[in-house]
Amino acid sequence: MTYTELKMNMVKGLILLVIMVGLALVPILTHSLVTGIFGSPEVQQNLKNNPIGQQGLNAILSNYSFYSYAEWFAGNYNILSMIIAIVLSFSLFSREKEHKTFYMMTGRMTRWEIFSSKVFSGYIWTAVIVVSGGLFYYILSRIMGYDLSWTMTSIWIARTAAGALLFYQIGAYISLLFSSQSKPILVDIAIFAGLITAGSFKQTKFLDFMQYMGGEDVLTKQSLGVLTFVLLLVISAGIFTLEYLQFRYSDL
Amino acid sequence: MSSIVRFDNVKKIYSGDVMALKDVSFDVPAGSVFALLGPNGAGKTTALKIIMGAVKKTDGSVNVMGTDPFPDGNKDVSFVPEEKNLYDWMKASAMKKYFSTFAPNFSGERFDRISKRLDLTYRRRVKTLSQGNRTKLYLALALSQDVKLYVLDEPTWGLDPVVRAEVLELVKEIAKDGKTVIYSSHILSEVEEVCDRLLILKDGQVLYTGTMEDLKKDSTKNFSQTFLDLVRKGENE
Repeated sequence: MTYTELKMNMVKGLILLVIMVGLALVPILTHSLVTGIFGSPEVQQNLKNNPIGQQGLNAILSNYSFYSYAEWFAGNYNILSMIIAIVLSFSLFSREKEHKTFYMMTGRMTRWEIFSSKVFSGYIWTAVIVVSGGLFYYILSRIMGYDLSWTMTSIWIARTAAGALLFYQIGAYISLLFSSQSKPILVDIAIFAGLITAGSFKQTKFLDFMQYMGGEDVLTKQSLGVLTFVLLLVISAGIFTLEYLQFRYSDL
Repeated sequence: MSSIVRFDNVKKIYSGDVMALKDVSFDVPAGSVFALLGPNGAGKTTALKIIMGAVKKTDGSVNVMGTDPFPDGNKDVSFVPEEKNLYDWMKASAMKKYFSTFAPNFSGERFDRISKRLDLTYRRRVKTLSQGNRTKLYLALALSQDVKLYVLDEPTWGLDPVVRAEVLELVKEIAKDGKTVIYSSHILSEVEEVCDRLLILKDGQVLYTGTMEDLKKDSTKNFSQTFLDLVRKGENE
């Protein structure tokens, strides 16, 4: 059944994949343009009083891994992955409840079969799109002749995938709580904004796992941050379990 | 005759203290065509959803073919719900293919035969189908499963008289094969034609349960009048 659900979400999944890959093209293809602008005498003149200094900034810009971090992995890729998680999760259960189409499956499938086919198909699409976005960026960069560290790329992909899957799981749970599609998407957006806001305060910074997803520490330590990575997966698994119990023991 | 469905003092209270069923007890004998009747809000659909395992009883015991149907239901039961909603973006032919991936003992050949008998429009998307055609599609899908029990909630809703007669024929054929049908409808003539046993509910309580024959035997009036008298009597009590 997961395969059938995957096929049913094919159009949505492919559109999201095209958006992800399409946007990955932009920073790679505009890299020379950006460095060109920074290299222009007018900009260089304005950078004279920068504390990092002209040379420092030029060095940062010529470091393609740093450029990739700033322009893609900590930027669009990060946010896009969260948006993909929202798009793939908000209607997962709420659409079936709103249109009362669960009764098609009632009795014909067990609750676990219904639940797992829906949740896993979304997991697979989220993972495929997020990993594709990171891999495509890496491969195209190499084709274009840029030197991008594979270790860093793979860490960013793994971190972003773990974060996106957690957010997908949160979205799926919220989808289960409502009988209309508009409410889950609004709640998802509110949580997304809430996480970013929480990241701005010292006391609640730990809640913003997007900072881990696009972590700048990867540039210096080149480490996955195993503890946080495992924590994200454990929280996802916890939400998955709660969500299943809620689905199993509630009226359809 | 052994019972395929058994309710013992079943109670269902929805949130907001809405009592849908009050100590409802009845038996559905295997091989019968069992009618579920009652005015709007009587608790018929709730009872059917409890049989399907879609809704949890608050109290009492429910037994469908030897097990409590909640939460997983029973794969030997096929259901046509009150809301005949299918995936709007799919064509009827795609719905058939989709259904075959999860509905136990589904026969594509049987689906084609039933669709033909019901004069089902095949090539259009569900969202462009009329309510009647959606009902036909749902019936064709559900009746194409070879199962022991068919639970049909308002199975002729929105159908023209010719197709309605065909649906009643299909129900009779299913019963002839020794299968059990639970049939909920507001159309008393249909019930009288196909059902041999019945349960009448009103405000979540049982007004009558027994055979059609006994109900008619105890009254000098016709079936419709007897039903109305029972319901009105229930209102006055």
